[in-house]
Amino acid sequence: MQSKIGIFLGHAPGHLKGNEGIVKLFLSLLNSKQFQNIVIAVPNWSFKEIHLLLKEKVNVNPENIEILSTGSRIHYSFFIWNQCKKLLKKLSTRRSTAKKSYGKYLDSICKVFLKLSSRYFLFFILLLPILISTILFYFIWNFSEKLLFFLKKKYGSRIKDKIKKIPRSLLQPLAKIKNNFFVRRFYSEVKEREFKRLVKLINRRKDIKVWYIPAACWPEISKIKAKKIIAIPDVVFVEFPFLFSGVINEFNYQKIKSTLRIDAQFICFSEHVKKHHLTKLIEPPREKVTIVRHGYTDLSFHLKQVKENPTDAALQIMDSFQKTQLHNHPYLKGFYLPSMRFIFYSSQVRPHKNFLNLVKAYEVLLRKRFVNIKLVITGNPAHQTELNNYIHSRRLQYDILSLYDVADEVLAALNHLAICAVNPTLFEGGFPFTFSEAYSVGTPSVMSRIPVVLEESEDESLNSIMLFDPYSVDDMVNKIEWGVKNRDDLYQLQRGLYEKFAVRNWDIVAKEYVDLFEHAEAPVVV
Amino acid sequence: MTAQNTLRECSSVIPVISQDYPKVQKVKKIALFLPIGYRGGSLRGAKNIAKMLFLGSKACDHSLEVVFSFCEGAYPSVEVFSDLLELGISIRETKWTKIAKRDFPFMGNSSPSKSLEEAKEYSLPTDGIANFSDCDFWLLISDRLDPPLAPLVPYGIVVYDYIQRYVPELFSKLEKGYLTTARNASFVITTTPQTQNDTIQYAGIDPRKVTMIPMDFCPPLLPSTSVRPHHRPYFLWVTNTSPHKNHLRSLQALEIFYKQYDGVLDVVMVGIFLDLFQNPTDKNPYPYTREISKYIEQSPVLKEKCQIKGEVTDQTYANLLAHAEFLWHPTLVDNGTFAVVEAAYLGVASVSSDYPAMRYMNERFDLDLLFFDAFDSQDIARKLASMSKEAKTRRAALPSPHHLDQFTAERSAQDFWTTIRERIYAI
Repeated sequence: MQSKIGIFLGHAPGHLKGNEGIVKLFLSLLNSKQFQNIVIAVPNWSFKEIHLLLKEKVNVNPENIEILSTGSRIHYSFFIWNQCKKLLKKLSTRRSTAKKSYGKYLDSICKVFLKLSSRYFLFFILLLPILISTILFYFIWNFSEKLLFFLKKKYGSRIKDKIKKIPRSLLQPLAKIKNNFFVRRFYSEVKEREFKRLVKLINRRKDIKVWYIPAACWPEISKIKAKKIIAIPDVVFVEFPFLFSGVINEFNYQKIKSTLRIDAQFICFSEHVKKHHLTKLIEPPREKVTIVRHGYTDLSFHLKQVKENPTDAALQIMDSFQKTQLHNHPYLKGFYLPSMRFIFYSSQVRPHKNFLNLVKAYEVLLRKRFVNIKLVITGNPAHQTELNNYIHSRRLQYDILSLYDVADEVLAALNHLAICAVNPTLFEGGFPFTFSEAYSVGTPSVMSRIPVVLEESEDESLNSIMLFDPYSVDDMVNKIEWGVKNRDDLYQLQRGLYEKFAVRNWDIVAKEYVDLFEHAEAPVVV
Repeated sequence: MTAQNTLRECSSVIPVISQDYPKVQKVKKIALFLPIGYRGGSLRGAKNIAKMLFLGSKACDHSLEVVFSFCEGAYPSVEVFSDLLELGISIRETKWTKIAKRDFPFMGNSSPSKSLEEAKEYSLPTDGIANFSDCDFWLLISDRLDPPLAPLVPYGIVVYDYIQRYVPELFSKLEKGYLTTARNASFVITTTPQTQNDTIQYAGIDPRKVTMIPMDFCPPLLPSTSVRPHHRPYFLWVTNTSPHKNHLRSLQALEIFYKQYDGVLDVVMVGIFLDLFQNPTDKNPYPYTREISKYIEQSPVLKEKCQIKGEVTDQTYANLLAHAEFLWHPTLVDNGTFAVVEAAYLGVASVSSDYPAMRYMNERFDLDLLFFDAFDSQDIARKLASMSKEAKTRRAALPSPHHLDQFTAERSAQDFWTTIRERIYAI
């Protein structure tokens, strides 16, 4: 019987999400036949998240997976944080609903007052103050609305917009606070204490011979006594130092560097990362880096679960998504989605993901080449000020649509309905997932000519059609336009590449991981 | 086959899209709204639609009454609409007011269904009589209403373009009202495939609600003189002061044309508000027109060669067009310009920007246009130079007036009414 495998997931609160790259990879491994007898160690703040994630995204018997945690009680600061976020979100989105509810409440109070006080004077005396205060509050509320209306008429819409944005602007400092140096220090302290407790628990588990750590941001795992295998997707800072300036990035870079000093075995996903990132950084230099390439991601089962015909399934998923998630979207709530023609980029907004050039290329396609399509992204442009400003200043917010943090079935539907997937990234740790995600549901891709892509795609005649220089907007425009106008041809041309990946399913990848776990060298005692 | 049978047949073919309004039983009176004080080609287009409705319904034995609504104070006199009045189309001066959503319940039984897209405020046409509630159906010419049209009566809409999608500088804010107006319409009519696509891709409207009607054409007046109305040979530039007319790049192209290609022809500019291009001082109220004025002012060759005539009468326009060497249309994008068809009608060739609506017009009217890239001053200048040489030979390839006559509103009226009628009864 295979010995137990420990997996350490030290994500920050709220970050253990199924659409995040590292988690996606981890879930793919977990869903394979090879990953048996798994123990997942998580800090207490991820206790609920991991259960939810496993319930929603993992198909294997939950009894095969044990969760190791210090408990489900989270630190008071996280509790306060979550409550503040919830409250402010409610305030910013449900103002009108709240007013309506209050109106109904006032109506009921009046009815009760009239009914009871018409019979008994005592009730009149008792209820009068409640009624008066309720009415007063309602009037003040209404008056403030009227005042806003008046101000808007007199001084233009700016003032009203500003006042309207107050609850939303309260949320913004929350996001900023998160990045504040002292807040991060505070979080580090809390995290360090929690990780110490967790590592103690881990070290008590003598039945687990090897621990797999799927990211390089938790140097605290150096205290784990068993064998450690750490995945380093990339050290992107090395390649693009100018894109990653600032204290936070420096902080993260130091964490990765500390991780690389740990006596462990390392995994990465491409020759490029091994050669250009890890061998330079690992101290002391060791030959302990193994390349395990990604498997291919098949999204088609999300559609098959809904309907036999993938287009019908995708449209049904999008219809339901529109009704449940977009009902407050000012533009998309009334949009007839089945006819929308779009190109699709599924990625978080990060500096090296090259969103701005894609947006510029899209603008040329729409406004100079008259290619009548939209650009749908899954990242949130608000995470990058320059990008967000560009979209708004060029008035592209009705054509570049961000569907942020979508479920897997929506991702599958979007991939299927897209004319073409686009990936303009400057760098990836492994061959972009977006290719097989799109192809598995019938959509071709155009993407950046970057080393990890060239490692896998050697057919230059195909590359000259589907790859563009991510630094050249013109090249991007030409390749996307060709892809959009020759979708079926491109799809056929990419079949060979896809089939090469399709052979490599996650069972094969998982077996390579398991082999590595079994043959990992014992660590030097720290 | 009776007309009713034909109707029933059409209704069964066209999918029933909207159950949001009371079903239209019979249309006797249609109000046609022009919500902005358009002039020139846009006004002509709107009047053409009124004529087509009236004449088309008459030809189909429908006793349809057409009411043409125009904005209060937008036109100097009702003489502008004399052609409509002569036909028997009534006109109503209309004031557009805003009403709050909460006022809807007091506005009769036709309050809109919940499935329509809501707005906090709506635009309501008021005529001092019954606010067009005497009309069974409304047809809105252009979507330019913000807040959106109050959906009190079933309405259709004719959308000419979504130019704001292509030239973002034109609008200072997002045009949510326009989109809601279009989305709440029972159907949307467009006149070019590009706008049809934009209606689906930008306004997000179900394609089954969108119909493209064949573009009609109103012949220009014939020239009243055989004497050239300008003292030197010239080509004509029909424009206005909107930035989408691509003035700066066009002026740069003209400089190249005169300097590098030894261009000799003058350029005569006609269109409304062009006097603003002759005022580079700070008294010019608009930064854009001030900038263009300054550009012309600072260029000796442009000062000499650019002749700004401004807004001219239809007859002067016909005279200028008929005697031009060719017509130049360097606009970035729009729904196409009839000026090129009018030019062809008078035997004048055109050189035009290459964008989808002009490609469509070129094909539909068989115009043999010479195209250039409107974003590339060098290319524009090059094509101007080519056209200067080829204009005369190109005239031979132009369609005859007889050929173009088949596209007039009068000839298209019956088809137009049939399309509209089918759409109305499909509600």
